Amino acid sequence: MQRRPIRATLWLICALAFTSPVWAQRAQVTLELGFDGEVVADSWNPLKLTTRDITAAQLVLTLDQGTLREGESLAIYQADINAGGGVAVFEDDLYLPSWRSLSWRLLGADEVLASGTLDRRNLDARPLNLIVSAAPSRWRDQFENDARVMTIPPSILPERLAAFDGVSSLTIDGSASMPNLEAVLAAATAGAKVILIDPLPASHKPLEALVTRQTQAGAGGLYRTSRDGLANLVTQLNVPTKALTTALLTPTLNETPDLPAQFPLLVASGAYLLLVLVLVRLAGAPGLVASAALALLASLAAWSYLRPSTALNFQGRSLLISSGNLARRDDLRTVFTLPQTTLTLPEAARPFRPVPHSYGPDTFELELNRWASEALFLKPYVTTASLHWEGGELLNTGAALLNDVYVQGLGPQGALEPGSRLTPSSSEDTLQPDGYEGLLELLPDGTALARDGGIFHIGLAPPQNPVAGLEP
Amino acid sequence: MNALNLLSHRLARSDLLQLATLFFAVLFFSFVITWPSAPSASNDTWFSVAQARILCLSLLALGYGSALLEVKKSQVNKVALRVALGALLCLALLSAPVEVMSYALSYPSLPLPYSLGLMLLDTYALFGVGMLLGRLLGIIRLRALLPLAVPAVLVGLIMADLALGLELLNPLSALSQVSLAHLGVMATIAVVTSLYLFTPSKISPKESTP
Repeated sequence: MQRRPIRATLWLICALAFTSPVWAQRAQVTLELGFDGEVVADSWNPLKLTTRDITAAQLVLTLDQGTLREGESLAIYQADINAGGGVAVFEDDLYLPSWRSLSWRLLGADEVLASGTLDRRNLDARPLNLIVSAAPSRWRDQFENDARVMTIPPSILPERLAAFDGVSSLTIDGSASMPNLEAVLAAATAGAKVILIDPLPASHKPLEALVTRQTQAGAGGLYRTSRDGLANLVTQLNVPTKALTTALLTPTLNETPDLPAQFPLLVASGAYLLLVLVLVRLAGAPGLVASAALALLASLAAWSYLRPSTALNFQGRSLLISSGNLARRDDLRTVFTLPQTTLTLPEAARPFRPVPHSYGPDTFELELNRWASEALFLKPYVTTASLHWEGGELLNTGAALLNDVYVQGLGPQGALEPGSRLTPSSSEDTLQPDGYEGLLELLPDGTALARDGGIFHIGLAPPQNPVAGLEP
Repeated sequence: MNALNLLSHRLARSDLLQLATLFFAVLFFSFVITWPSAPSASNDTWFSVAQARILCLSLLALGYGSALLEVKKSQVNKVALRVALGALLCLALLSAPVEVMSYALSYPSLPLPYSLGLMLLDTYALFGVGMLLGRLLGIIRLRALLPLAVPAVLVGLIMADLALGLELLNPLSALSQVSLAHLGVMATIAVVTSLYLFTPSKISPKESTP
């Protein structure tokens, strides 16, 4: 009898011996937001989630973008993580508006696997200046005092344009290993200045070759400079991509439906009510029947005349900022809804105003009240340029006709057929095409602007080859 | 006289015709003042038209229900009550195009059939509540208070729901969102009203003279 407790204890120890490894191997999760934890508010930021020994989970990031006066306004990011066990990396880009609180959690089947917050003190809308260097301290004094400068290992540079939305410059001095060319091009196309400091070691030959081949990409540029030229380059202004994207909002895209004039409606409704009263008063039973029939007819007529054919008006504009053969593409979608509805897009997007919404790697959802409109910007991406400069000529390398070609400082240039070239000349006509005003005031002389329907093309002039006819 | 003739005669009588004119004038006025003059403004006409319509119909139903019920059971003229109820339901139907017109552009979240049906159901049920009110005031010999009691009952129904946090009796809250509880309560009252109105009385000297 006395052996029974001992035996039970031994069995318990055996059981614990088998189960303890399961307990010991807690899931390991690392979430990196921004570049090495540095995020840029009101921009798209890279997100990297590294998991170990997790098969499936859901990442939920909750961001309160409300204000003291207007209260809470939540933006909720959700992504399904199908890691499949082992070490897995999930990467995406996240638009981070100015936030009051930001927290995240990784949810397993029935438990929270990991969680964390990002303090509001990290909120900073200044763009980042990234340095890929083994000895970065020697470059710090080349930047302005209030510039956000940080050193990053080349391996963490993402190969996605949106990740570099908040990056002003990327400096590579050759002392660290060479970053991927795709990441460098993504940074340049997004609008960052990619600066290579000479002399570069032999390991950086592919990067040197790239910069020799191409000095511009999308909204940014690729530069080679000496140690002394860095300060000059980093203080040059970038293309104002955010302001250009916002300029797409004007003129207003979504018009409210044309309401029928008030007076005829008042006359019609007044006449109906009066006629019903007269019929009921004077025509007895037939009058009552006639009134009922009239009510039915009036209802049907009012419905068919007043009810708009489309309750949801969806429109869009796009902006391609190109230089070289690459372009940064930003898409604007505007929606006007008459009924209260839930808008779902199969793309990652951000609302123009800080309204509550939920989003994910390839989805966006927003509740809209009745008679409401909203503007949404899709995640920017790299695409092939259609309009760009080459040797003082404008090229249309796309498949569509580009209309209303306009060169800042020279004036309208007409249309540009697909595959054709155009040597811009000064035009006496200085009238800007409709819709160009907001964009042109943000662009320097020599910039070409054209459109293909709702797609605006901006061709940035190469800095080394000023456009003929313009004052240097 | 068939039912149609009874209804048309009832509607053509000056008391109901004057109130119908007033009712239509209220609808027309609420339509006029809330139709947006600027094209960019949101169209909220339905909200005021529907509220005005249900309030007017509720007051008419309560008023006619309470005024037509005699104190003594032996004097109750159920045919007159049925015809009055029918006339009020006719008014609800005849005023429906104004609501349809305002609904078409306002795009409220409520379905149109629900809104139109609610008007009829509440008119029916509140007619029964009005009969009960008339009977109670008759028992305590205070029928002179009917002009005050009718709006007071409507306000009481609204306030009771607000105080209790329920959506059972208030016709206005039933217009803000689909309320099955309100529909259930009103349907129950309507059934009880129907049972009373359409069950033949043992002694009804006025049955044949509406």
